[in-house]
Amino acid sequence: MFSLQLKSLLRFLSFVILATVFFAPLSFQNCAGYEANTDGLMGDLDIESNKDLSLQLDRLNNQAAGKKYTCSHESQLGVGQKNMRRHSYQEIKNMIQTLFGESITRQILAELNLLPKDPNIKSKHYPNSLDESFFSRMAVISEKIANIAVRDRAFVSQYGACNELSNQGCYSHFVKNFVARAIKRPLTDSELTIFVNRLSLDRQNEPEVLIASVLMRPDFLHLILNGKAEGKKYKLTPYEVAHRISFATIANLPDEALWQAAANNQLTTLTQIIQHVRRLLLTQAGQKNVVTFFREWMSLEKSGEVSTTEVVNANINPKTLLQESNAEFDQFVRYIVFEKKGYFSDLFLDKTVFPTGNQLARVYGSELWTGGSQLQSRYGHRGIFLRPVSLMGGSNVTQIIDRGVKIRTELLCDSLIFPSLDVIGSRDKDLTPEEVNPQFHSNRTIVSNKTRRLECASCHKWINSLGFLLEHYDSLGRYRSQEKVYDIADRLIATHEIETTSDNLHISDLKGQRVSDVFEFNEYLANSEKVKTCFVTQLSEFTYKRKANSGDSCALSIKEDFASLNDVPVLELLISNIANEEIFYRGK
Amino acid sequence: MSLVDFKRRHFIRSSCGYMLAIPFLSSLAPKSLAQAHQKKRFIAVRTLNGQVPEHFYPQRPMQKMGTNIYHKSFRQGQTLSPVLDSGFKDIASKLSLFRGLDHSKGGHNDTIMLTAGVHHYESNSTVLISNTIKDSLDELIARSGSVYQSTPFLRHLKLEPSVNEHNPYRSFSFYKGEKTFYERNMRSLYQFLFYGKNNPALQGQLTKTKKQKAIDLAKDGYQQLLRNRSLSSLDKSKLNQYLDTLNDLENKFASGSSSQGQACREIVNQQLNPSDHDSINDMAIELIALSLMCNMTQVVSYSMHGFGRYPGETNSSFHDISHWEFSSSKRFQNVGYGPERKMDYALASEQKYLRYYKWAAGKVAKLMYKLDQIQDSDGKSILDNSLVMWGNEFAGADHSPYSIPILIGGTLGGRVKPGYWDYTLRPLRYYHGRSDVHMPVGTVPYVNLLTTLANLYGVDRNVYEKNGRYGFGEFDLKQFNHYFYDERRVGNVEIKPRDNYASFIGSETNQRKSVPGWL
Repeated sequence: MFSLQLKSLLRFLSFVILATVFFAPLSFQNCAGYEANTDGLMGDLDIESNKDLSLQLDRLNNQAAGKKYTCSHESQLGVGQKNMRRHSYQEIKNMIQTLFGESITRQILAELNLLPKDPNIKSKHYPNSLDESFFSRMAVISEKIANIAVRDRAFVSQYGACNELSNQGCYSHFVKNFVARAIKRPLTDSELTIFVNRLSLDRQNEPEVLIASVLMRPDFLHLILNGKAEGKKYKLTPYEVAHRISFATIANLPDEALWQAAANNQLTTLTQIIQHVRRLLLTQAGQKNVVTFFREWMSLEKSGEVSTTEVVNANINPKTLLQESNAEFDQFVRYIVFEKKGYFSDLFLDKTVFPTGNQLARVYGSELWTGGSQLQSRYGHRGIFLRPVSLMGGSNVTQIIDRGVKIRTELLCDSLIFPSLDVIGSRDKDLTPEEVNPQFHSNRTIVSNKTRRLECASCHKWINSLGFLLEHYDSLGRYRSQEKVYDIADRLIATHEIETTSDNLHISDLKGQRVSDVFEFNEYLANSEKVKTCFVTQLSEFTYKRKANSGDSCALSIKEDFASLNDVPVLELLISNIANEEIFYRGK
Repeated sequence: MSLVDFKRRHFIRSSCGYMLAIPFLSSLAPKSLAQAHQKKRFIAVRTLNGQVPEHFYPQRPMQKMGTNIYHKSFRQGQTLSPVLDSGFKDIASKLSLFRGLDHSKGGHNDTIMLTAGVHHYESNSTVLISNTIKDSLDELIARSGSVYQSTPFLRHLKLEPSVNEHNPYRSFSFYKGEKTFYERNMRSLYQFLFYGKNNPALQGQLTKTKKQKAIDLAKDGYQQLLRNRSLSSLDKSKLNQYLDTLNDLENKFASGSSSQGQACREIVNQQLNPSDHDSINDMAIELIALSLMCNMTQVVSYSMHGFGRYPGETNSSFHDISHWEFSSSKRFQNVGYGPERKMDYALASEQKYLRYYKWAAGKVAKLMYKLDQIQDSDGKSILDNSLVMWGNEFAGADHSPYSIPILIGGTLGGRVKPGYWDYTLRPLRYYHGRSDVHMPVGTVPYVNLLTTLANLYGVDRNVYEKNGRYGFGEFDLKQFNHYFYDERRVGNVEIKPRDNYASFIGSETNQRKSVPGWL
């Protein structure tokens, strides 16, 4: 299997497509009512609200189905890569743990917790800068670590191959090894001399000052990839390649094997790169990173907390259900990617469920999973998309618009535009109370009524029909055949039949085909070139913690081609996302 | 939750349920605090989803101060409105309430209040959407030499308290086009501010000299990197910012201000267990008060959480209910946006609607009142020497940006004239939608208030005036809605921006003008 994938990858590496690079995102015009109640579902909004509607819709309708990226020449590979990004807080915590080991880390847990968690938004949108609050905290942390580390003989001997840093030779050795790992490259002789001499007047204090200072340096807090100029791009050094691999796979510094590979100049061929990427992705940290990607892709940031009458009546604890569902989603990803070695289609179609708690087992209508035989949901749940945690909405009623936006922006990677103020203001002007009263109408009908005005419908046709497909699943992810409406006293006052059919989902490669329910749509997601293209885009953005740019088009084109092969396991797609020619370069 | 001892010893629970303070802090504050010179402080409090005019505003002022300028003073002990209720009465005379400040755009972005240029959901973006506004006012005030004469412990304290750090909404301020981070975890923030309070082993890891040496050595790395020719100008700018921050840190170590939090340690008690949205915001208020009292910071941005939560409830979204409209009978019904829709036809939601507004107002009142109980070096209260600005991303229902409701507590040492400042037309006309839901259109650009504040805090106008734009922020009249509801004609009429803003358009002087009457 490995050789097959490698061949496929190499085939596409040499594949040149002569065509104009088309990278402009799709755009939609003013969408009344399109305002999800979290930013998590906003996707990548294209803020071009003043552009002419007809032009944008033409652009959309004329876009070819399926593949999106082209590569005019493979020399363009890697030109989209940047030379500096700050590390996430999690990466900084991981690095400290790796550099100082479990024992010291345990002693500084309180200080490490001073660092906040990363924002619960997609990592490509993390703040780019570190601020005074961060540096103040980092000063406290580095001070504490330094104070403990210099007294820890195991730590000293790890880097110094000796026990006493007061010994000049020992200290030099320590500086050379420790600083190199922390700043991600070996020190030059002159740098080593400077480091050693800077503090030589006050030998007793050298090590702790040195350690504290290193943790505040830019090359510790950032991934900096300089490389050497080579035509219109820069070729990275083996150490820089090693760090790009390690942060892309395990969100941490290289392990010893990868560091040694860099030291021995053994990161120069794709075969060598693939070997390390595969090895690291299979580690616990690598698997965790993969799960994190799928969680980001499915936008699982929402809290999922609801308090409906039905929840009370059915004795469901939404928080517990959310916890169980989150853990089960992670388990499913691990199963598909690492155990089953499943294909892209399995991500959407595999029916295996792993309910380890009673709440989730009830949603699935299954027994508890105890690690034995495989279970399935009685209600059609499957894949990463039709899973309770992916369907939860943090609301009493199904958030049709949010769901539609999520599919459009996250799974199809189309862009949407925020409605103008005028459009929002006009939203309810010709609605009667009866038309939006759930006693008389289903949620689907009410959303349709609220977005029926021309200026709303011109955009909502891209959103609503997708959201309607999921109406058989309530906001807790439970299957339902009817929508129930309760009054303020929690009395059932109306039921509405669920209708999910859509005559036109306005997806280019569906070509106006009628879709009757979400299972049919899920089949489409599993096999669509467009969705695969979206997947490789999202994966690349997650890996490099930034939005894709036109310089990435070549690399994305290759990844897109590779993903279009049906016999490539997801794990191989994850490997090829990192292990391709672009890993050797950065742009200007 | 009991965060600080002073609260347990000196606070009493008032009949209306708020935790109120009797004078206490001046006696407890260390002498070093009393010797400090008078400081300018700025505290921005942001909530979302606007206000309902009839609940938020008192009766309109009648004293005419100029064309479209009306004013009245508030009396101590006065209850102002259903939302601005008894929590404010003891500080009523120190409040400035504005009506008739118009912005031109309205989206759910709480940065709008301090940028007047970002008009969109954009917290997922890495840069500002606006091409011309790169900094939020709070960030510029925090860097103003007029505010800080020496390096503080923290130039800018930014909080968005949340029980669950995984909640998706996140507030940001902006500096040089990039978002800056808000604290969400109040326990972590407390640990940071008062690090080592209850564990002496955590203190004094390195001597002052060693700390400075460590920072000095770290700076070598930044300077070395700056010499790298292949680095982009953006990255170089960032590295220079970092160097400034490290210089700040070095100065703090040199002056000992890095441990200013220790000055208040004797009154801080580490018993923290905020469990819900209500108590986590109480804790935030305590931390703000302590940080100001202990001179750890002078600039605070406090975002009172995403789309709002009802007190004591973690599973409700005020955003959804805020989209309701009034029927002609002034009862809430219709619209049916979001999870509370089942109450549309119950006609019992007005109290629930008010509950969030009053809850948020109560927190603002609590913060202002606390600051009014802390004596500053000149004998006045910290509130007296501050401006505590409370506002929203827009005015109210349907994202109306007209007549953005702004309440400011304090007078910045007597530099402003408090009271009710009303700049709307007489009689009221031109509503974004309906007169019982929307604010009327005003006559003063909201950006003039931000310009006024920038001037008050000594922010250099060269920093924020870009691309031929004068004053702070962006008042884009192209975005101005042309059709407004006119009660007198019982229908929509077209008004052009020049009808209300003729003097503003193209006038350098008027774009830099302060809000009328206030100074």
